[in-house]
Formats: sequence, structure tokens, C-alpha cells
Amino acid sequence: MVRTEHDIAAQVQAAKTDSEAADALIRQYMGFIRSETVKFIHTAPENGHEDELSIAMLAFYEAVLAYEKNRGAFLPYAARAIKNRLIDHYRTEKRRGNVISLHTPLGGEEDGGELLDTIPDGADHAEEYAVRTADRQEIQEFSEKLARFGLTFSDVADNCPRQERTFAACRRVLDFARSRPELLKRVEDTGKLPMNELAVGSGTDKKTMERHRKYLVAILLAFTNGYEIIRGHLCQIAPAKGGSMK
Amino acid sequence: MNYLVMEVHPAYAVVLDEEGRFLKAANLRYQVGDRVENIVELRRPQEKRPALWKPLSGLAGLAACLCLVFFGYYQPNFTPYGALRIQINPDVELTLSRTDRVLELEGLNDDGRVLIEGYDYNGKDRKDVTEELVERAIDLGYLSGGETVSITVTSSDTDWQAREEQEAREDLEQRYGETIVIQIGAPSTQPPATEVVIPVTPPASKPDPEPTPGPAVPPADQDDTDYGPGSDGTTGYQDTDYGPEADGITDYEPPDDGAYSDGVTDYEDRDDEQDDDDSDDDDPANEEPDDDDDPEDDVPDDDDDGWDDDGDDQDEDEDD
Repeated sequence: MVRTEHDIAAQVQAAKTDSEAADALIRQYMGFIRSETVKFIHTAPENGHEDELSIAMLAFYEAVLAYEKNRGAFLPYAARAIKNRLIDHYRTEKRRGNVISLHTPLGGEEDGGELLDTIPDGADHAEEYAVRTADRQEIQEFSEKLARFGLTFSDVADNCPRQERTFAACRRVLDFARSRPELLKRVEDTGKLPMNELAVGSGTDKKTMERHRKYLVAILLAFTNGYEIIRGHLCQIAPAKGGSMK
Repeated sequence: MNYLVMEVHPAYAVVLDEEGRFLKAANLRYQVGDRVENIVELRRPQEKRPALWKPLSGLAGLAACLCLVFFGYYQPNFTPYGALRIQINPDVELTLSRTDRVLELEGLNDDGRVLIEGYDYNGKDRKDVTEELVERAIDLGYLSGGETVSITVTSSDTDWQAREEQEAREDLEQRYGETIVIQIGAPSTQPPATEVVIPVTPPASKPDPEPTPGPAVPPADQDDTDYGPGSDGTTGYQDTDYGPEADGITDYEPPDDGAYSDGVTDYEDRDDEQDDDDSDDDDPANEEPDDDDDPEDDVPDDDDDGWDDDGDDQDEDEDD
């Protein structure tokens, strides 16, 4: 089957909103992404350039999101986007200065040892594994809870307020809700925001709340019972009664 | 800042930062539950603001088109810019647009109205209309060889006015120049308003009677006699009915001559008995004393003097 530019454009259009379609598209075009990366780093990504490949994939995804059908073909645009993103990545890395890889060979080539081997490993691997498993489990539960309300983390991330002022408003909503556990309970049970109470209690515009409904549901759910690890991670959100707003 | 990896996709990972933001970042071989420090965040396309001018642009375009039509086509062609008046004997005025279109045609006298009656000037320009009107005037007999057609253009734009006059004249001369005379301005048939000049001689300067070298002292009061050559004619009397300051009011009351006076002192009308003519006896005021006197006078004529003036008087009265 001959793939035409029209098909690609349609796929890209679908991938803009549907994260699964985006994943499928990226898997389908993995060869293209890889070849564009190789053009830039002049070697196989497996030789210590895995990050570049990841950046290139992100760039491809960015290109999917930003593509406009009436402004030209997609693939040349994606190639350009990958190249620009890699250049940017190199510049930021260079600014970071004297960073050497842990995989830098030690001494002579015949040695075969790496810098990583010389660093004493004081961590308790067994405990670390346990913590990691617990984290994963909790995140898994959280994800399933969100899925019951028809949400994924991708949706929540897309819905997250990006403007500082809006973010502060959402924070006010959260602070108010934390002071009223019955509201959090209602969110947990129904997956619906008690808009009126929240709007009156927090002084946030209803329209703003409606626009970031998915995000608010997710962050309020995170403060219901049972998500200690996630709540522990959100250490910069002040304790419930503190109500401080950064 | 630490990020907790919540979800991994081939191209990106969803991470949660410590402030509660969910972000998409490059998936540098992350696994769910990883805590990472440096992420390469996803760059989202610039959100395009809905262009506010877009619905207005159509309106603006329409307005621009209308302006173009109005100022480029309508105004030069359909708004009056000046007037051209043709005077043969018929007096006709053409209202012109800037581009010489004839917008209106008006006869200013009876002949003019006859001349333009039934004439269709719609869509014609000044040249056609003037030529055709002159031709009609010739046909109708208002104009014959050697006569004068005068053209007057009035407009607030003097340049345009001069150009129009020139062109109108040239156009007509080109066509009728051999037979008729084209003239710019009002016809000179009316006599020019004659100017009456009244010679005014300036009043002869009187020689100063006393060229006083010193400071001009106002003459003292005793010098102001009302007599002599130096008299100024002002006597200083309050209200005389004479002299230059007389106000014409004499203040005389008409003398009251009693109830019987008719106010007319007719000295011919003597009402005494001696001159008792009846010429003016219709006045009842004079008649009554006569009647009173008569019985006394008309005593029987005892004395035989033969002189009876009363009898005459009586007779005459009776005759009346």
C-alpha cells in the first residue's frame, strides 16, 4: 500500500489529541526518527547517545502537536524539528560544563573498567527495590482511580495550568478543598467537582475551574486517603491547615 | 526540583513535580516511580489567540470599498460641483459635477424653460448639452447669426471654474464660432451701472481770526457776547424760539376763546347787527342772539320817523 502525504496528515491530526494514536505513530516512524538522529550524531544511538534518540522522539511528538496541515508536508517539518531540538539539547548540555559520563573508561583502554565501578555503592538495593515497588504500586492505583473517571495522566498533563496565575488559582481551590474533607470525599466518590462550593469557598472563577477540571480532579484525588507517597512527593504544597500559597 | 515519573510513553513521560504540576517530558529511559532531577520538558505549540480582527476585517474591507466607490465614483460624478449658465435670450443653468456630468438643467426665464422643455440631459456631459442647447436655440429661433451667447461658470473651485469656462468656450467656438459670438461672463446688453459722481468740494478752510501764539485760553464768559461779528449765535438763553438753537416748540397755548368760538377767527365774518349779512348765518351760535334781540327791537314802530331799520332787519330775517 502506498502511503500518501494525505494519510500521514490524517494520522498526525488524530495523534494530536489521542495519546495512544500518538504512541502508535511514533512507533511506526521510529525508523525515520532514528535515521534523523543518526544524521545528526553520525553514529548509532546505542553508542552512548540514547538521550539524543529520546530527545529526537520528543521532538517528533512536539512536531505532531504543532503541525498544521495547510502549511506543508509533515515529514520534512518533523525532520527539521528533530534537528533543531537536538541542537538546542547540545547547547544546554554544553552550558552545564564539566560533566563526564559515568561510563568514561578508566585509564588505559585495555583495562575495560569504567568510572561507575569506582564509586562506592552505599545504597541498600533490597530496600530501594521495595520502595520502588511501593511507589509503582501506588502510582498504578492512582492511575486506575483516574481511569475510572475516564482520565489518564496524559490528559491531566495536557490540562495542567501553565500560567502562573492560573496555577495559583488552582492551588487556592486545592487548599480550600483540603480544609473540607467532605468535599474531597465527594470528589472521590463521584469524580465530579462540587463547583459551586469550591468557587464560593476559594474565590476562584468557575470558568477557570471548568477549564482545568481534569487537573483539579487529579490533584484533589491525590489528597484523598491512600496516596501517601504521592503526597509525600508534593512536599512543596504546604500542609493542609497552613494554606500558604507560594 | 524532583520529579516523580507517573506514566511512560515511547516519546514522553508524564512527571509530577513537587508543586503539583503534571508535566510531559522527554522519556530518557524512565520507568514509572522513578524520581528524576533534570527533565527535558515538552515544548507545546504556541497557543494561537483567536484573531480578533478577523471578523472585523470583512467589515473593514467593505467600508474601504464603500469609501472607494463614494470618493472615487459617486462624488466626482453625482455631486454638484459647479454651475454653468448659458444666456442667449433663453437663460439656462446647468448644474455640473466635477467630471462635467450634467446633473440638473433649469430654465431661469420663460424662454429658458421653453428651450429645455422635453430635452433629456440624463447621462450627458457639459459639452454635449451646451452644444445641443445652442442648436435647439437656433432651431427655435432664439439665436441667429451674429448674436451673442454668454457663458458664466460659478464654482467654489476657481481653477475648475476657469478651466470650465475656457473649455466651454472653445467647444462652442469650434462648432458655432463662425455664426455666433461666444462670450464669457454676463451679457453686456444691459447698460452698465452708471456711476454718478458727486463732486464734493472740501469746505474752504476759514482763516483763523486770532492766531493766538500762546496757549489757547478759552475765551472768558464776558467775551461771549451775542452781538458783533464774533457772535457764535448762541445766546445762552434757555429756551428761546429763535436763533440757531430753537427747538421749534413755541409753548404757546392756542387761546381759549370761549364756548362759542369755533377757533377760526374769520375776520370777514362779522356777526354784529350793523353788518348783518346772511352770508354766514348758518351758524346757530350766531343766530340765537339775533332771535333774542329781535323782540326788543321789534317794538311797534311808534315813532313816526319812517326810519325802520328794524323792519328791514325783520324783513331780511324773514326772507332768510
